[in-house]
Amino acid sequence: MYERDATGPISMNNYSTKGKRMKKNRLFIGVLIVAALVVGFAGTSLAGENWKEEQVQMFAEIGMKPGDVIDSSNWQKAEKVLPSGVIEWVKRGEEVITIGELKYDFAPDAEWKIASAKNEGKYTLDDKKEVIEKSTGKYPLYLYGDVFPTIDMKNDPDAGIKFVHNIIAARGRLGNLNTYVTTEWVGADGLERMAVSNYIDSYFWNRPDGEIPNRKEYNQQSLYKFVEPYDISGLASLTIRSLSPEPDQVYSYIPSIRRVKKLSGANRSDPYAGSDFVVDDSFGWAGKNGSMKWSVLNEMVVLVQLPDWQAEKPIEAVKQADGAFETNSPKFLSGYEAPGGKMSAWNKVGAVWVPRKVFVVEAIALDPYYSYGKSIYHIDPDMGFVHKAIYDRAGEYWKTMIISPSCFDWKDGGKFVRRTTTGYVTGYVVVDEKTHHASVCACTGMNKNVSLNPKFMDPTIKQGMFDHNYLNTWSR
Amino acid sequence: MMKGLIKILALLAAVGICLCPASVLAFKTQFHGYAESRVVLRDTSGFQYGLADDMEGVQWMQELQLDLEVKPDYPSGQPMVRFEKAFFRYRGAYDAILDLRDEYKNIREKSPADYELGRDDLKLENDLRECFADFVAENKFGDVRANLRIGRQIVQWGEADVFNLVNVVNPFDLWNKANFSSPEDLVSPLWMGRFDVNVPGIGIFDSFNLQLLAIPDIRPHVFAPLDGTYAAPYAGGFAGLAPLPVKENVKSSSFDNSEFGARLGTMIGGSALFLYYFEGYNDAPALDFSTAALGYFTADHPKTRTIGYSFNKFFDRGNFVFRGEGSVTQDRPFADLAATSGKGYALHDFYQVLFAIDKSFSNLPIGTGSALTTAWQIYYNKVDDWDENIAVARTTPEEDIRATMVLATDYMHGTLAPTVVLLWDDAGAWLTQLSLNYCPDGHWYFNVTQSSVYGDPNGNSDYTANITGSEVQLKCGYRW
Repeated sequence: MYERDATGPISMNNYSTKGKRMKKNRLFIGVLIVAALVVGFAGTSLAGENWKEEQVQMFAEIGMKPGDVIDSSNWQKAEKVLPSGVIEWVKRGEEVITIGELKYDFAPDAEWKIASAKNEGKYTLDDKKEVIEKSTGKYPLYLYGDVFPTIDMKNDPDAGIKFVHNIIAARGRLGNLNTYVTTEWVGADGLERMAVSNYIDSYFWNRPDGEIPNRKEYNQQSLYKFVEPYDISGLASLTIRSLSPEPDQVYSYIPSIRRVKKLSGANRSDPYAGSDFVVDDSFGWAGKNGSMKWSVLNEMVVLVQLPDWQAEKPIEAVKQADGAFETNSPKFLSGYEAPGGKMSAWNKVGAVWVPRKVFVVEAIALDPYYSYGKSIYHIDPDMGFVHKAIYDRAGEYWKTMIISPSCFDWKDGGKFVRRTTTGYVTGYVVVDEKTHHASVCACTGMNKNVSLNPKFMDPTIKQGMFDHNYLNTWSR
Repeated sequence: MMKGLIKILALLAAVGICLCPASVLAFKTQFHGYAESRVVLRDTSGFQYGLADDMEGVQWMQELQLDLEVKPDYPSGQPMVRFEKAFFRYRGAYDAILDLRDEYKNIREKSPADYELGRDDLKLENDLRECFADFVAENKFGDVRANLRIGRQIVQWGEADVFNLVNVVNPFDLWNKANFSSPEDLVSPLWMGRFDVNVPGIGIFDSFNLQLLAIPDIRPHVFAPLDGTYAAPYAGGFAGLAPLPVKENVKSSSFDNSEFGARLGTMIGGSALFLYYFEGYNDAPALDFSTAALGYFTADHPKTRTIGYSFNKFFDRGNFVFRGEGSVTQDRPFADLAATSGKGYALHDFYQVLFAIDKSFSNLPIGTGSALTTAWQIYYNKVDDWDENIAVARTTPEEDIRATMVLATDYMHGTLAPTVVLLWDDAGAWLTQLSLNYCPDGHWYFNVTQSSVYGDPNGNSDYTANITGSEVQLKCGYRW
């Protein structure tokens, strides 16, 4: 059973403890509504009550402790807590796992948990597995909190997609995201090339500033523009995702012909600009949830990669004069950026691996032409997608993807506003195990004089920008 | 006229600065560019009559392009009416072949007439190609947005590749790059005002957008000298076109040299529909032979009006994009030695229609992880009130059907990118363009492209003249 626990951290209960947990939740909800109001004024977070104990328990379960090092001499110790692709890296000496611990509760704030609890029983799925309101049968134009706060992970046949709906919907808490990211093509010898792009997201669900007009029943709108290298700079795209099962609307502005072209909304498994990523790989999963059949396989403790500074404390998102919440954190460096290191060029420097309980979820594309066969995800309810093992359509192991989640404490004049977790990441890497080549996406810090630190609730992001005609003037 | 425009631009820039409130503390800039060297070899008998057996170098171009984008930073919040950005593009070039080959030294030096290039223009380029500023006004919610772009710029209309049914705003720059380089390099930027406004839709319409254009200084297509010296190095199919010098006849006073356009667009359920109207001048030259007695021909540019539409729609079933265009251009000139005007051309309405499908294929056994993107177009045109058989002087077919196919993919993690372009013209010609681009690190790049035409040398296709002008381009450069 997975349920959003209003007492603080996400609970990862045994399947048999649902009833007990629910009673506990109901008991505390009233108290916590008052407590949440107090939080708003006191400027502090309601930390989970027992996250430390749970972490200690997970260390005991995997037989490791902070400071342990897993390398080619003792890789067997981590065989059951890491994707098989990562174990192969460790065996070959391309990766050294340093065990770390979280120093804080990596979970959203109490306000979110209370809001989630209020959504109990409100929503269900239509025949295409999209979210609808149970009372009206319509797509919800706005909601706040987890869509499905309680899911019977063992017996509900739709548990997988409900769980993924929760993870993806929570990204909406960023409201309007405005950031730069770099995509790095990395071979065995190091960095081959790099692209810098501006990425803008506007969500309709879970916006902290409340509901905005949504006449066209959209779920999410995204803008993407390459800044460099020069041959693709100005190449911009607009993706509009509907609440309905309709495929995404995709438009691309091509500077060399100065026109906006309509693109297929279905080619989500094509490589992204020749990289090892496909479009759906962004942030672990960026596809339309209903395009996959999701199945929960089991629950287990795994090691999740984080930058050491992210394990120490959340990243602060500080409110600026224009109203945006701006972050400032280091880049999560890759091996090629640390000359003399023994690890592969794409593996992360300064990483720690912390134990977390995740659900193992299998995703199989409904599209028979999707380039991936099955994908096996490790999904943490609070961190989101953390690992992805990708198989080709013949069933052969193909790629390993490691996603490093991030936790943000939003501050306004030093006062705590909210804590968000699954909305964004510090970076991710996908390694093609067949070609021994990787692509790295860096999402924080400075990279070649480009600030990759994201802005949330950016007021410069306006609804009028999400029109194909805007691409003409956004670019050149 | 140019000085006046520059003054206007300076004035608008001043207004823009005034629109930047005191809260603007800094400007964000992006600076990019490239330097490249390009060699073009031409088989003067064409690949159809022996592959690369009569090759000669016709271009050795060293080119530098610089882009600068400037955006104000509004740390305390964007005003609803503001200066949004400015963009500048400079291009300079030197073609050494004009110094290396003696026969090119016969080309005349700069022409005293406007719009006519001379040898010095071919040898050296020094051009501020684009120079514009954007000003934005929007409502509080930001769903109504207006953008005014003032300056020298490029506007391309329509959905079609290769063909220009509604793409009639900017003339083409065909003096040295007829078959190569980026399509935007083939366009002559114009000084103009461009106003775009987006508003939310109602009912089945997701949104509306309107674009208005005002062009106060027209230009014709740019060619190398259109006269007896136009034999090399860029003549191609135009070699020996005219036995006498050709003088451009372009309106150059008050509203006579202005053009206007409007485009209305809407989105319906993810499909786009555009309507176009453009009132201007025919950018291509209409040769007037009536001045031959004076010792020259005249390149006229009669006034024309184009009305058209374009659309696109994605079909989930079949996973393809269907797009199309149609237009009618009124009073377009066509060469007609029997024309009653005695000018050598006559004005007719010209109808064009195009349908296309774009589809990607994934997981093909072609050794690449990337998809194979394909585009297929079928194009038809008809000259109204035209009988191609009544006079031998009418070389344009009354009706013409053409088709194109474009294939593109990439290998080696996107560093190696082949492209294939095929064009078939039922008037008797095939055009092929095969290109291979290698860019190992995002900065250095190398390209080889061949372009050739095959078919009936006596046919009346627009491409027939290029049968004897197959070319190979070799290019290397560095981008930053």
